[in-house]
Amino acid sequence: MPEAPPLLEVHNLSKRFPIRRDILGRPTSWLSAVDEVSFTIRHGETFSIVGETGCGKSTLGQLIIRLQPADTGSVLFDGEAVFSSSRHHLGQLRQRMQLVFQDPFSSLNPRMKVGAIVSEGTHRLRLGRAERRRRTQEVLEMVGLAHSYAARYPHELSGGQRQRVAIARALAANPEFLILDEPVSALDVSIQSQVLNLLHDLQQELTLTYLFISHDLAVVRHISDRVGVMYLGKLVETADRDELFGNPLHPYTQALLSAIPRPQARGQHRDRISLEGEALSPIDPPRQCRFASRCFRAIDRCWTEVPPTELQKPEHDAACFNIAPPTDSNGGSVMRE
Amino acid sequence: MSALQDAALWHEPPTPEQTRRHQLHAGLRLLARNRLALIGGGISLVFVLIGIAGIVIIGFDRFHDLYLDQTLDSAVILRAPFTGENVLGTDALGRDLLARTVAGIGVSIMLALAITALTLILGMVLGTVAAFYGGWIDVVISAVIDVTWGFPIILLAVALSGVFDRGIEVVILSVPLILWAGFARIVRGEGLSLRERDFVKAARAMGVPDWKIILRHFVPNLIAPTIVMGTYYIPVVIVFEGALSFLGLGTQPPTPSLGLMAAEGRQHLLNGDHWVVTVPGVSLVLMVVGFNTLGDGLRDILDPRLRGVR
Repeated sequence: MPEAPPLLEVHNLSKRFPIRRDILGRPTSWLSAVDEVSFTIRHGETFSIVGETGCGKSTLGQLIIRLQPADTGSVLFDGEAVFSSSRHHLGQLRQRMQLVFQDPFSSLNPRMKVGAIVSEGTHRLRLGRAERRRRTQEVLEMVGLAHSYAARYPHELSGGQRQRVAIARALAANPEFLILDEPVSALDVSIQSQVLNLLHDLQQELTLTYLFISHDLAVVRHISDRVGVMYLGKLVETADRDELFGNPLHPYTQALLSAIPRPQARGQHRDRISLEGEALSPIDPPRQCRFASRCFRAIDRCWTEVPPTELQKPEHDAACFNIAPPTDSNGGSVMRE
Repeated sequence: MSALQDAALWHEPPTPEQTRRHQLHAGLRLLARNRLALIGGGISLVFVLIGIAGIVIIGFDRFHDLYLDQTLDSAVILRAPFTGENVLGTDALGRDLLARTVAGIGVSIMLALAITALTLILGMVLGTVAAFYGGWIDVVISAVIDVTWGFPIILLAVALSGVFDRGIEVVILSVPLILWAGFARIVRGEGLSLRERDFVKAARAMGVPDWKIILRHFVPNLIAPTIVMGTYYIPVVIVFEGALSFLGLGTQPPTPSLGLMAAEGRQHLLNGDHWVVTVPGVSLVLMVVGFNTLGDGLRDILDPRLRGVR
């Protein structure tokens, strides 16, 4: 999907959490959750962030809609600065951007009925009571739930139904941009595909733009237009989906992709990259490549400098000093087409 | 979207009618299995009914003779229970102990409910505000909670009685002014965990105003600890009211109060006229045990995590 105008531009976004303080309450130790992350999402596309647990994906999503304050960096939504906008203006921006959480058991208030939960999403639209009701019914229908569900409590619903309610709540505000924070990873595999298809259909119908946060490579491959790979708070590689899955440049991406199980004929041999070494702690990380300790291609420079994100090919960024085609840990080339 | 509409028909959920009946049954079964709550509830109910009668007696002038009619006639004063026309006997002024005890229970329960309500409101407001806003607001409120919780209620009552005229208002003021801190601490703890729940984050992300988040997402999820703490505070308040009245700081004569009656009768205790003290005393103990048992039972039903917590 080439060259739609950008909807969301993220520049050098960083967030650190203080984890230890001295007697005077001054932080002495920081956990670096998101570090100098930049990317752009175009109108109507699905941009995915993949990464392992604890790499800062969810924090990134919450920083973008200012649910948590960022330390440095900026976010432009449709050309408007999110971080410097006034309280009133932020409210308007938040109506256009909505967040869907990972765990539908925690994201729905157990004491509220589904109808009330969904209609809370319309709260920015300043509707009358009857319009509010109609809007609630409308979005419930959009996510494939019968009207009668409005009178249910969340505990009466299954995980998939709950996630539909959470999506309906986000849609109720009539947004343009959805941040989907692991929207299917808490669901059974059979339900996952239903919810993914629902998200796909909704995107077509309502021309939505998605930021899809996930750790599941198969899901990401299925749903994304472009993909960013995160490792310990750093965005290490960004590319089109097919380019990233077909021709990964960053050693972490290469290792990640080689871990996907693939069917193979008997006797056929496939090299897998297995990472060794221990992951760097995100607490007070030294100035070096954060992946160096586990990298099979690390060179001296990786231990003394932070590799900048550079355009390696058109539409393909990676942050690495030693870009090379995929190799296994012994330096041999991995079989590919 | 036809595939989606099919999906809606996977299965129809039970009707609200069915669900409600199911929940009611489950609740009743839980109550039946919890014999403690049932016994406590029964005793409490009896005392509440007696209390209502007591409030009626105090409320209407024409009933006042029942418990205020006094005499110096030696045939009437200090009459033992079951010996004359006074079922529970009379006190040193010849007043009917049954009527006075009933009226005293009324005063106790009325005060207990009012004071508990005040305590819960104070604790709820300060606890949720501390949890929701965090930061320096939380630091200040938590500091006030810590200081308050260590302060003895009786001491505050003595201090306040020096400022105001002695009387019921001292009891009303001093007890909730201290007790709220315990409830606020529980509310704050629950609130801190609620604040991190995704539905609260979702509401904030949608730009729902703070007061609406507190009313919609905090308060309804704090109902269980509120009921549990409410039933726990009622007997605590009853005991404090009795203690303060015994010391002469609470309810003032001639209004009957269980603590006051015990104080008035204690000089007769050693003369063998023990019922002047034991009738109101035993009533107080029974009432407190009843409410306490009910509180424990409700705690088990509503919030298993608080089991055994004091």
